[in-house]
Amino acid sequence: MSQSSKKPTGRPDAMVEAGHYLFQYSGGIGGGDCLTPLGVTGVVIELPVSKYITRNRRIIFENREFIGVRIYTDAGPPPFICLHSAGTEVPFYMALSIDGLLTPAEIIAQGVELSGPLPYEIEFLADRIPQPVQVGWTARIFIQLYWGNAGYVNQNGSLPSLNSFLISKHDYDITL
Amino acid sequence: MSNSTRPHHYPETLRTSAEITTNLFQDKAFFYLIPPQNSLTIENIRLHLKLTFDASVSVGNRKVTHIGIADEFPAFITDEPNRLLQLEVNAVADGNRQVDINIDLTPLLKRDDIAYRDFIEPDGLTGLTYVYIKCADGCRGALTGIIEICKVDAQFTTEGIA
Repeated sequence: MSQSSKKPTGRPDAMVEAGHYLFQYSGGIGGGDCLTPLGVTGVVIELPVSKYITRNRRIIFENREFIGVRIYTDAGPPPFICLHSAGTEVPFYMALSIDGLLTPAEIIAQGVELSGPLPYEIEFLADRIPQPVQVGWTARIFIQLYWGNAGYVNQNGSLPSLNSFLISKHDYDITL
Repeated sequence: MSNSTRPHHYPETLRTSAEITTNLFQDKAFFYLIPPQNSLTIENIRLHLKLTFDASVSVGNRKVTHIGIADEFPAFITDEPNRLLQLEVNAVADGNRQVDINIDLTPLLKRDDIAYRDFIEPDGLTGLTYVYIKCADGCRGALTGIIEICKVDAQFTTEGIA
């Protein structure tokens, strides 16, 4: 039992952040399963975490089926009416940073190289996760992805976002 | 604590979620906010949408024509949802190709449409609440733009604390 003299008041669970899905129809001319080039060589995704964390021990992301990240070269028009299609799979790099400002070279050096069929899990241990003791910690972890060519396409045509990944486990220490 | 089995209804369970920096294809999209467990009703809902149209979209087509509430995500783009109530907003993009819409959609709600779905929808599921976003018809067939933010806040009543 706590020895604190504080008594909890209010609702025991005040979580307001919910999940969501954004459904839309695939791009391309006339619909169907068309893809468009990503238009950028990488993305920075912001992941807010609890401000009470004192040490991040482990984070496991799931690169999700259907809406996850799998990068391909652009094979140009397929036999039907789209303008772009998935060619050869190319790996991409994923690293976590404290401010989202890692350079591509740093992402490659510090991150993990990913490819292959979805879904799969990606594990980061403490030494590869930004920590609250570091200068510049703002209770946010930035996921940086880099694939290096704006002409590549993602498997579902979307630019990767936080929805692409499911945080299936986050082990951390917190202050009381 | 009470031993009563009478269900306790909590009138103020807020949920919020946002889609950020995502490509928008074609002329319509459906945003589904996952309701809390044991939801009884959805009481109110708001949308904040900031959309930057792609430079390839002609000036006349750079507008969000309708925002609404739908009860399903049709399999084909040419199909309409079973139940669709919509407001004609005709928000035209500014010089930066952006529209910024803050809108209360509460009057369009069917309050007991609080069914839960996952990414893959079970067959025959009905009674869901989607926020429906419709751009000009001319946006169909290509990349429409980038959703800078699409944030939905909704308030539910739940049985017990969810």
